[in-house]
Amino acid sequence: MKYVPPGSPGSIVEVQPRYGNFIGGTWREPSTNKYSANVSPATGAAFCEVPRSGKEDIEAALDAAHTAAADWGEVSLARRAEVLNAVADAIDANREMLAVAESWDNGKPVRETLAADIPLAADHFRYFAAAARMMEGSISEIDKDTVAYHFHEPLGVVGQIIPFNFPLLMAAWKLAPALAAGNASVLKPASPTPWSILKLMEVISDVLPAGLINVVNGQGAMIGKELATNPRIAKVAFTGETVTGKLIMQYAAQNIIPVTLELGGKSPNIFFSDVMAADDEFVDKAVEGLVLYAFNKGEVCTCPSRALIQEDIYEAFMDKALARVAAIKQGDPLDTETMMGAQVSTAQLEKISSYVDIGVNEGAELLAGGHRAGIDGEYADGFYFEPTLFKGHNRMRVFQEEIFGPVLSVTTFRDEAEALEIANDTLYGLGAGVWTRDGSRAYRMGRAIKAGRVWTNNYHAYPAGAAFGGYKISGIGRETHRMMLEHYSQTKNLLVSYSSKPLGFF
Amino acid sequence: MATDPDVPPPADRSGDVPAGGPGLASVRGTPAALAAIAEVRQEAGPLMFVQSAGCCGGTVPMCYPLGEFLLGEADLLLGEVDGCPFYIDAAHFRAWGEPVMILDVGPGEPEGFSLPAGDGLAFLSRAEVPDDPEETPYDPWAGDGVDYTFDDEEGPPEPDGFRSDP
Repeated sequence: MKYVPPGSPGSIVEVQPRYGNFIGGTWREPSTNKYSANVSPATGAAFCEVPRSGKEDIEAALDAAHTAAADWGEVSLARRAEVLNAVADAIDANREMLAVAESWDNGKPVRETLAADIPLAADHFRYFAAAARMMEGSISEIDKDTVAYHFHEPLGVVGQIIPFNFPLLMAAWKLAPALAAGNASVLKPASPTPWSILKLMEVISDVLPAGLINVVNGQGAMIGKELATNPRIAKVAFTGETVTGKLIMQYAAQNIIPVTLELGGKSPNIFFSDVMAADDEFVDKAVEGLVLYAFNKGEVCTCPSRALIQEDIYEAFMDKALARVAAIKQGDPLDTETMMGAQVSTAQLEKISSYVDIGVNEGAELLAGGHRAGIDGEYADGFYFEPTLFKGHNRMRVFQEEIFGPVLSVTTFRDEAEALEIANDTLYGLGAGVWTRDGSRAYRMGRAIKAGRVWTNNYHAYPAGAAFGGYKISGIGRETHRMMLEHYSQTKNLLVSYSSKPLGFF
Repeated sequence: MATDPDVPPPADRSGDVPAGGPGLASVRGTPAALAAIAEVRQEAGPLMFVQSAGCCGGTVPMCYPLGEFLLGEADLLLGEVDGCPFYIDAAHFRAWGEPVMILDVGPGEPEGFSLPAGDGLAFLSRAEVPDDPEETPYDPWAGDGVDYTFDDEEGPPEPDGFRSDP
């Protein structure tokens, strides 16, 4: 089926011409009185305006968050869980509306948002509702009369800066653990995708204590920096590129606060020849596993953008993979048949084009795609790029730098040792995929690859409960696991003596 | 690459201005970049550029007020564009094949905390790997006393232990 574009007659998504910031449970005009046009990548046309906020809006959001945090940090764990579950219920009740909004704001196919982004976002709130109920301190018996009690205390107010690739799911990844641990948040959406999160706030504002989540839109140089340097935040969490990650650490160093950073990858997806030992369902799964580089048009930090295929199955495996790539349906992201939508911005489109030029110039063989995709009708001006494959070697730049588009770089390897060497020959270490019928090899490879997550005989699954985060320059910290509660908590130790005997030093 | 009517032709770079002082030519700015710098500088003062990498907006140059980004030993000065220093992480520069960076301007919101290049405009960069490395008159590896080079057979150097073991 095809969904009607948001704002058009008959659409399930209502669009206001202009939005405010969501601060203290209410919608507020930006102090700057400035707005930016928000463009849908699907059509290239602006469809609403969002605030271009200033310093005062961040201060107002921090005021609201601090007021909320004082109460929220003291409510029962049952109450925290109740609110998080209510948020999840509200997301589920509005699944289709949010899926269409997310698709329109980002350009990703609604097929993905209906099945992944929105249900996963709801599930993250449920997972952390459960995790909050399970939070326990500890008691250590230091000696017979001395006891160390450990309590979790909220940090207070945290600053969270999220990326454009999964606006709602990344918000859920960051908000759910922060709230579960008793904190309030000031959240800055990515500039290309400022709107779907506002639709989320519309549907959860009724169930959310005022000021617990505050959303401020605007330019990073103005409000992102203001948030990250502000002495009134107790932690900053960021997903994005490396230089901003370094700058955030630099700012955090000045306030001596912790950071969580997720900074991207160039993830290898490794296919051993035993994948094709039988002609069965598993081969089919593995072929789809390679084609997952086109998931969310390649705009995924863990995009499996380097395929490493054992040389003796290269021809046979790639025949199947190329046929599967050729069958990708691209176009209207609101059509549930569409598999690939539009890149998020013209800047991304231009970057992808320039990488294709770089790949060709450095001698990589273009196996498929390579051009801006021609889409007819009302989507003709959208930001579409063909699913693209290169064959080359790992020293090429298209194998070394994250393109953040639907561009796969394929190479071959002789044996397990070479596969491992190529897999680790990268500055990044976020994700990896290993495909084999040999469980021992899967274990050896999985342990030896320097990446935070190694998908084994699957890829691009993001369940709550599995820790996600990077080695090397891919970042610091983990997400999507209850260990996040520790990252969003302070530890209070009470060291208590129950003995009446003097120490005897003085 | 086959020509395609949907692909815009490469930008005309005939007017590109070699950057900085004598000998510095691993980065240069397009006329649009030079015009944007002149405009941004009026409000923000002296500027610096730091080439980013990785997730999301990844391969874009960040434009900051001069001194905003604390430089480390691994930050290579590639040159200057109209007096603005342009830095890149040494490991990235090596992994990208020691390209010549072209600083340009395009439509869109800036990434991260970068200053915009004007209303609705952002700085961007393209990397051109020189066909003949001898044509690059400036060797950014030379003279800083740090050996960034590594043998191609061995791959990039291992990152620091604290990075690889979070």
